[in-house]
Amino acid sequence: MKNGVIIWGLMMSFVFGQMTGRQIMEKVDAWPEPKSMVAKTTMTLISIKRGREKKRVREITRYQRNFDKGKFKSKSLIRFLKPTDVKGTGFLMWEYRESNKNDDQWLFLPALGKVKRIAAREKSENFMGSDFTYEDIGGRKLDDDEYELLGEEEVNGVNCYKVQAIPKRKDTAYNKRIIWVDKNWFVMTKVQFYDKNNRLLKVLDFLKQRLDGNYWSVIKMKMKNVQTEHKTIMEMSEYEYDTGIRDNFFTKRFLQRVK
Amino acid sequence: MTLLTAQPQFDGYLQNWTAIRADEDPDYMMLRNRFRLNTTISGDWTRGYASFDVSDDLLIEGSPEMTLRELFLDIYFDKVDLRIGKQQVVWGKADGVFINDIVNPLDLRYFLLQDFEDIRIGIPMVKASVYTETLVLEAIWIPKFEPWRFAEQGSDWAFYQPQAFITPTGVEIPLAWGKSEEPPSKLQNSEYGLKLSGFAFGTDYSFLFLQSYQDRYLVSMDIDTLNLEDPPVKIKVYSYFRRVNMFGLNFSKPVLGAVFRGEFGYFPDYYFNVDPKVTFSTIVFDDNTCMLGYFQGMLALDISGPWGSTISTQYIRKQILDYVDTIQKANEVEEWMTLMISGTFWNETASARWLMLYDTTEESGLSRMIFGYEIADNVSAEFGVDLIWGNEENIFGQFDSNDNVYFKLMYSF
Repeated sequence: MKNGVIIWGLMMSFVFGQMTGRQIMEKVDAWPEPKSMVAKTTMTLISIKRGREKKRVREITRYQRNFDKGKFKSKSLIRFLKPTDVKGTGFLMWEYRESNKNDDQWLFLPALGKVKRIAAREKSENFMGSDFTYEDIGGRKLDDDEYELLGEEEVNGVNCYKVQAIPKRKDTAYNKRIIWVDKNWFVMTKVQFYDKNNRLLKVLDFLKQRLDGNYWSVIKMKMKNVQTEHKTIMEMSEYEYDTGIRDNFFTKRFLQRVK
Repeated sequence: MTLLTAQPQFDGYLQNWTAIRADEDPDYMMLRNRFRLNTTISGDWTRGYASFDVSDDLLIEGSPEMTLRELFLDIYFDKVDLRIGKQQVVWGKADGVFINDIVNPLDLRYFLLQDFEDIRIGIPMVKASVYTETLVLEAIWIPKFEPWRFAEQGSDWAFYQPQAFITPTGVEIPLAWGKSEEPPSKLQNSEYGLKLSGFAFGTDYSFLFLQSYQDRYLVSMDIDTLNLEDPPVKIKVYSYFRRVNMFGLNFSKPVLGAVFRGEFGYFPDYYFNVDPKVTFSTIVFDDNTCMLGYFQGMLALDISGPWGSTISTQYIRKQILDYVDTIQKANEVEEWMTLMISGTFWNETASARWLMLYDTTEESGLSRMIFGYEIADNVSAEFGVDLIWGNEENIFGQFDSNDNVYFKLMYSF
């Protein structure tokens, strides 16, 4: 199976030599999504204070189930492991297929001992104090942007397409994104995010990615806010795909169940 | 994996809490060091948890205090979860006030200014939760009633307690407060409750029933009739508790980017102390209670703003139905408003929060401002200011002289 995928990937660069920006992003989007996924994520938040780096570490386990049909698009449960003062905190989210329907979200705070209903978060809000927003983590839908192929460039020795993505609606923190896509594998290698004033805001580098069966696993990536010099290194490990997590796992019952 | 083969996990913290009275003559109000140790052992279908606390307040006689806060065992079945042992059960939706969240007694030794996780007292109980596709039925059984804890009389956070009975002729008779009379440990005195919860039309809802002893204690004199011509040297007073039923409803629902939530509790028969009957020459104490319907409810709106900010406001109403004028120390209607504004800064390194509880009936309240800073991953500091105002017989006003500034330093592991 893996060999087949490799050949398919190599073929891409020949068959789609003269592609449009939209076609390139369609190929990126065409990589299959697992039905369910578990991964441990470690985020290192790095700030510069008086010329010295200050590091803080956040650790979570994320459980996610994606749905092909029905009213839900996905359900996910995030369990906070570090720092210790937030250990046990849980976040449950139900994402609906209907694009105009807000997500349902709940937060379990062990110190309060209760599950709190929370409003769908602003997508432009930072996730756990990192440089990633909820929108960056959740990803944008293919049809959310207009694409234009700007050319080809090498990124860290990898030949890439350079694609500009301009949002169709204003409900995003970004004016545009510039995306570098690996010409052979059709996976993103770098993204630049521009703020509403069209100034470069953040740069995301995919430092390590791996093909696990049919699925691409991001192992390490770095997001740097060039305006504040703050950066976040996100490392994912202990990936488990299609383990058959049951639907009833994504409920308040399991949200409260601190391991 | 069973509990016997599982590896226990430990976490906890060391905390110093220093509070200084904000007064012309400042003095220490708290010098407390605390060590908290939590242990979890997780098996596939079971989980054990213990939370242990050693607290030493240098200003309190009898410190240090060692407390086993919680000690319970979870057993998970396919559709049923069981939790047995000393535990906390939270039934409310309100923040900082207690409407339907009355399963566990409260520790009010530092009034409402305790850390949230310490304000409820863990008590032995059995909790069973039964899960269906759409509903959750939670049943609790509490073998023995435990009352709220209050600060010792004479300390900063002691609740107002009258020290003398004043006759209509102006004679002051000292009161000697005895130990509270708690219901004996018998099966028929155990407390129990049911909560049915679900999710429909984007709304979380719960229906509640609780049969328990009421938290507001009643006061009784050890004499039935006081002869005004020959008054006693002192009167012995004791507190006791009555059994009540509570029916409740909770809900929360997101509306236009905000969360609308509420909770309502109704007691068909709630007990209140009433004034004694006064005749020309006697005061009759023998039946100094009345039983009336009692309602308490809360409506709240939480609005999320940019950069992790939240504005949360709550309206609380407590009402005695068919009120009689002779009821002691309780207004027919009590209304509170609460406001909380919070935000985080510098990638959540710093935080600020302002919480205000305001009794609109008595025009008294409490304001707490908190500034937090994360020095390192496991070291945090908090600076706060507490302001309390109101009439001295009011729940807030009695602590009017307890305005304070405080500093907390915490190391988590």
